[in-house]
Amino acid sequence: MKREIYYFASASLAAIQVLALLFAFEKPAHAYVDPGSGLLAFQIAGSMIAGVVYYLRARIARLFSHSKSSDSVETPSQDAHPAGKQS
Amino acid sequence: MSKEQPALRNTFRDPAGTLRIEQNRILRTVTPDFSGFALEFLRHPQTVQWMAERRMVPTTVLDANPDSTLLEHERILYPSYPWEWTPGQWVAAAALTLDLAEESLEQGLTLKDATPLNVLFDGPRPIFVDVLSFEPRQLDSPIWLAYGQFVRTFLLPLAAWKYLGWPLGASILRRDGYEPEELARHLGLLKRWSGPLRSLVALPALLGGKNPQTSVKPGKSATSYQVHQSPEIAKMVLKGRLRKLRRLLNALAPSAQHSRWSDYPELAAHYSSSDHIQKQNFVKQSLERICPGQVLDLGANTGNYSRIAAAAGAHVVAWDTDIEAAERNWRQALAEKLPIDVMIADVARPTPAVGWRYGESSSLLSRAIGKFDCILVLGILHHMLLAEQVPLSEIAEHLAELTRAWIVIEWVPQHDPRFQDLLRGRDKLYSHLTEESFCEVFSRFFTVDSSEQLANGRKLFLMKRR
Repeated sequence: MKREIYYFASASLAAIQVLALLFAFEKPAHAYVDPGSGLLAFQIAGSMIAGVVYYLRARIARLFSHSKSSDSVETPSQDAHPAGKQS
Repeated sequence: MSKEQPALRNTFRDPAGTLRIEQNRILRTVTPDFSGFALEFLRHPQTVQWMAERRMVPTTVLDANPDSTLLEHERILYPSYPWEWTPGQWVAAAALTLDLAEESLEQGLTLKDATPLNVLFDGPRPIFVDVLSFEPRQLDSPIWLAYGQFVRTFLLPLAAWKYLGWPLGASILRRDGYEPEELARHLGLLKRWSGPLRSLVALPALLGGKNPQTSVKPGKSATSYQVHQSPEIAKMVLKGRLRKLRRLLNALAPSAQHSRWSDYPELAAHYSSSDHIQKQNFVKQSLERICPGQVLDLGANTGNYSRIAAAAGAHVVAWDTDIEAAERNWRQALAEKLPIDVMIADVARPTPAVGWRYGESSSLLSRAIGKFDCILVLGILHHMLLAEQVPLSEIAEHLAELTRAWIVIEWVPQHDPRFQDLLRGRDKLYSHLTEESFCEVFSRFFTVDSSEQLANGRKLFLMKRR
């Protein structure tokens, strides 16, 4: 039961962080070249999707590593997200 | 003539500094706000390595004072512009830009602009010349602000050339390349959503809206949106983006094609193998005797004579109008590391100066006049006379302007099958074009040093300017 509560809490936290990632883009950027309109939007969308994918990979890797009692599993995504190394 | 050439003006777009040419020296002034970083960047081991590898133009600091920082770049012998490059050269310049962007990522840097105009060709190899294009990267941002410019100025012209047949030479009219929406209008729905066009055209056009100029919210420019991620994720996203751009570039790279002229040396039926050998020997012996430092090969085709000149120790600039022939010349020069600058250029219709007040990119002729010790005019004179309809006296005068000393020129007689092909029934109009009239007109500007008659009736001359 304790493990289920942990999974639920972990998934909720992940969802909140994903949402936070999706909306955290309001600071002005400075460029002297035109960053484009559609091309910039395409890049922003791609960055957010890639960021979420990297983040979720780290979370999933953490879940798996948590379920194992052995030492943490080293994956590139854990390297990418230090939080993934906490277990 | 040289008095009429407009001078290149100081560059003005980049707030970090300005470039000028002063008595054949390439000088760059750095503005005080950017001086500290620029000097640090130039001292960085990676930058030093790039310069040693000649991937970045060697640069020396003349004045390190923050208020008057002055740099001097090594002069590239014969600068060419993207509208004069073959498709392979476009891909090589884009690949170099991506290489440097990727390598600089690890150092916490980014390219703030990414246009073909940052690259020149040093022989057949691309060299990055804008040392102020680098700036510190915002470590928590996965956005590459020059991404749009890279796509507009490198990938979309290549895509337009590959899928729509739009010439890369049209880039002379487009300083900032194409917008995805411009290509989208000319591509069918299925085409637009397949292959590299999906990421380059269809999706950006969809996200940009019908009118990209007004698709952002009122009061908010497109640049006011930015994503923030952890530095590790941001770096991985940027690396992934550069890898994706490289895959798109590879998908747009040219495949071998055949054109009217690319197989010409192999199929030249009007030339027997003994005539070929005799012609090559005459050119080789002439060049070995006069030892020119710089040679211009007019109508270079796939570069047989460019390579002979390079073997004789010359730095060669090879002009041809045929893209596939020039591409082959460039590829061979690259593979064999020969000092040959290959350009798509037409002596009869030379590239004009372009840009603000004609001062941003210089014309083909202002870069050429008086720069060469020898001009090779092999198998092209009859094209200039009959196809381009330029009078003999004009050609002789212009060649005397272009060369500092020598020309090696091939006279093609009236009965030659190639002369007859181009004559097309205009026999009477061009009946005055005889070897005698050729020698008479050219003797006003040149003296004949040596000559050789070929069995097919053509004649080779080595001439010296009077």
